[in-house]
Amino acid sequence: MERNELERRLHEIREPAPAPGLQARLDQGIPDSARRPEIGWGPRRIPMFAKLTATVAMLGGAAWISVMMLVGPASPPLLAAVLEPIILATEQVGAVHLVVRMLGRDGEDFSFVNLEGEMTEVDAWIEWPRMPGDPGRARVEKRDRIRQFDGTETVVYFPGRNEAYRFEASGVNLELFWPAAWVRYIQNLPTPGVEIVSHDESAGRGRLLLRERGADTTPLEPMFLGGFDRETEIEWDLKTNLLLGLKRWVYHDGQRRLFSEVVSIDYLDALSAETFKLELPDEVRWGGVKLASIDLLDLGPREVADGLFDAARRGDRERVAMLCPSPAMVDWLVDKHNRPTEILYIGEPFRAGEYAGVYVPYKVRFGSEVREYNLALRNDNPENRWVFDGGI
Amino acid sequence: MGLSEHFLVWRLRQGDPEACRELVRRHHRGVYGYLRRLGADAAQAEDLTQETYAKAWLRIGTLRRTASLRSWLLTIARNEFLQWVRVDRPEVAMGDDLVQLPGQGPGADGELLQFESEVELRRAVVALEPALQETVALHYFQGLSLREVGAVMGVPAGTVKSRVNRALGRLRERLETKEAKHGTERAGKALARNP
Repeated sequence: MERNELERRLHEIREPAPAPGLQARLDQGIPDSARRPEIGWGPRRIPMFAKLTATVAMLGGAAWISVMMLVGPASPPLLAAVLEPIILATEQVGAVHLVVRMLGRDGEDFSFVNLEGEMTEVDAWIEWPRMPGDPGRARVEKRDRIRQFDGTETVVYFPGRNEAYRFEASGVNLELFWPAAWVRYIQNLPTPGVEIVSHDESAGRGRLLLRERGADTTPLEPMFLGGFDRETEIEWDLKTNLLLGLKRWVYHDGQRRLFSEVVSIDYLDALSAETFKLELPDEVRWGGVKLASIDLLDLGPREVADGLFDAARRGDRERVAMLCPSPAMVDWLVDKHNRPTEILYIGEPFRAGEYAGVYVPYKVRFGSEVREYNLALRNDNPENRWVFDGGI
Repeated sequence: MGLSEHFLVWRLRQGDPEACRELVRRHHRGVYGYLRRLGADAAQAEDLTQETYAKAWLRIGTLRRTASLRSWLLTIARNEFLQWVRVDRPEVAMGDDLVQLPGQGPGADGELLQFESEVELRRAVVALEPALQETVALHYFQGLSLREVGAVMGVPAGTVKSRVNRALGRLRERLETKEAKHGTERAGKALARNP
């Protein structure tokens, strides 16, 4: 018997089935949502670590003194006095595990505000550098991707298209996911644009609500967080001074819209090496920037955007693959059912938010649909040439 | 069409009871069947399946987004089985009663040969040494990749691959010997009917 035939027959074999009542018995054992804390997915604990004791003893008294009500334009000394103990306590931890919900869509940058998006969960495990020269470690999971830096190399994996990228550098901005850095950022906000809406310390928790004015983006509509009028609320534990929560809202057309919120924070001494082991499927497709001919090296972002759409329109897979490091995206772009049919407009590149690359506005017809969006391009690759990074 | 595995993992991590029911619906047969393959009898396999899911609810927070739910559950099931064997020290024999096909057996006459052939294949699998039998069960019957089988059994994917090759070699050998024997018997019977 041929091996293939034997394997086919083995695949067809089914193991014995249980009695019909088993599924109902198992269903009965499912905990209901009210019992979440007992089943491991509930609100995370905030462990008290010995190394924090000294800080807590020193600062706890100050935080307990009284309920302060600072309302009105932010006063730098008072704001600093409220926030400093939180920073001192929070930055002493070695690592954190965060769960954050953010408004957006798959494939979008963290600071991009997509009011049409939905609240998407982000899980982040961050180990802060322990000494000079230590780059730290990070693992960030969003619904559409996992980005992991194990101290040596970064791997980004997209489960939806089973595609991964690898590069020898930290691909995660640790400060984006480090609670002490958030509070430090708030402490350093320029005071003319900041107003303290409320400040309350009661029932073991402190709460501070700040309002910030957005940067002027006229004539364009704001797209990134910094362009919106916004409010930020932080919440902290009055005993430990550890940050417990952070919420941000943006104002659009007079409406307040939740942009991000911390679901939970675990403060930890360290993370296990296991956390930074990313097991990828055997059949994963590795993407990356290919060695290109000289003519590609001199292309600017606008030319690359135009060249990418044009090559896709012609079904020129080889050319598309030179400009797009994602094998799945190349497949999609040159597929005759998806490929662009007409390039209507390619705009001037611009930089925005925390994004390391540039955005190129475009208006392109794909079959009967006209897409008007911003193509994301970046050039932080070994060849320093502009390549596709998202936005279709 | 149901939820994609990726989205189901996401919902499980949110603590969605509906997602938990989906996890039961999709995988309880596989867990039960694997426990039977490891050597648990029907009643014990049901109890261990319950234990497996009870542990799963406790560990749901550790579930990775890229995890294969089936291999995650089977790993828990295997640990539950080994724990049971360590504590209760029962007499277990892998797959002794797994030769019979599920259901009522062959229907129309034309299915008889296929039925016999599958029973023969099941016999051949049961005759494999335990590690090979378990590898075959996880890879072919449960549909896990070599890497996932390795994760469940705690061995490298390369070891799994060589076990699969050994198992296939043994199965082919056994089935070919049987076929040759049956061929001789059939020829003998035909000769006896039509001398």
